[in-house]
Parts: sequence; structure tokens; C-alpha cells
Amino acid sequence: MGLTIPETERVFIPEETPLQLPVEMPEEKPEKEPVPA
Amino acid sequence: MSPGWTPQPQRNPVVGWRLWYVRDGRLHSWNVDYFWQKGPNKAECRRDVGTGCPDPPGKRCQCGLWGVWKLSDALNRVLASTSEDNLIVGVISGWGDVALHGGEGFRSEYAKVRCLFTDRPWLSDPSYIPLKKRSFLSALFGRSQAPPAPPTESELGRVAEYYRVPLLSIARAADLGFLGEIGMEKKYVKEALA
Repeated sequence: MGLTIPETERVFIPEETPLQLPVEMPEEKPEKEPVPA
Repeated sequence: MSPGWTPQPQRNPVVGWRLWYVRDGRLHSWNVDYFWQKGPNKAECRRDVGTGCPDPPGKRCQCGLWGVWKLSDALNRVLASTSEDNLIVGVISGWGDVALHGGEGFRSEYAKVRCLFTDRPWLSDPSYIPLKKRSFLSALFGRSQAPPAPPTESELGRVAEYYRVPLLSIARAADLGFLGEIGMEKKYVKEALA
């Protein structure tokens, strides 16, 4: 015996979604220009 | 908030009640021949080869790993269709592709066992036929084997250990806030305690 009420909605749920905290992204540092030899 | 961070609309895994048979120290579905795995389980459509759903939970199908919102619904289903007493109550979380079935429950692509319980609420259910009476009826109607005995608390402990989940009473899990922590709605915690 399965579920008796027909499907009412379909969603996609990612596996790990415990908290929604902002993630600190590392600042991008400009690459040093190559020094001519 | 750092630039570049965009909030994503997210949903937490769905959480539902289930019952299983305890067999060989593991959880066995009561309606299909399947031993639940520790950690994530992936749904398979068990209709005949060639006609099964390629990506369970299929539409217009009953496949998928399913749980129900209310403990009483889980009990009613099982008690209506089993003559075995070796049952255990638990809670699962489901994720991936999830089919929601209104106020009843869900079928999910993935699911894992989150908690098992020592409670045997069917003992106080008026529709429950006590084991001895069922054994007598089984014998009367030609079943040679009596239904398996209910698992002891130490057996339940070993099952919980195998699945690496807590074994608690429902009241204790509610007191600790564990059911809310794993995402069960308050109204369904209350319903289970009623």
C-alpha cells in the first residue's frame, strides 16, 4: 500500500541544506606583473 | 555580505515517519523486498523490467522512498496489512527529486534513516490484534509458522548502531528538540506525542 493522495507538487531538494549562511569569498588579488629578467 | 554571494532559494530535506520490519539486525521494508542501507538509499522502480520508471519517483507511479507526515498514518498503513510483530518506528529524511502528496507524505529519490524509536504505539491501537491472537488465527488458517517475535530493546539498539542513528523514545526525541532539529514540523511532533 503506497500513498493514497495523488502527487500534488514536485520539488528538487539538494542533499545538504542545513543552514543558509553567507560564504566569505577570498578577495581576488591582482597577479603581479612579471618582472623582465 | 561579500560581493559575489547570491542567496539561493533552498528547501530542507523532507522528514517523514515510517515503520520497518527488523530482520537480521537490519531494517526491511514492510511492503517490498528491500533492506534499507545505512546512509543514503536511492529509489528504484520495482515494476517489471521495461515498464519501470527510469527516474523514480515516477509520475503516476508509487515508486520512490516514501515517508508520511503523521505517525498515525504510518501506523495505520502497516497495521492494516501485516501480521508480524517485529516492527520498529523511525524517521527518515528525503531529498533529490521529491514528489509531495498533499497532507499525506512524500516519495523521494534519496532517503536516509535519521532516528529510530523504542515506542510501540500499535500496542494501544484499538485495531491492533495482539500477537498471540494472530498466531492462533495464523495456525487456524493454515500458516505453519508463527509471526516473528517483537525485537527486544537490545536488538533495537544494535539496529540503531548499524544505521548509526539515535535510538530514543518519541517523547525524549521531542524533549531534546531532535525532531525539530532534523526538520520535522511542530504539528507533526505534537501529533506523534498525542
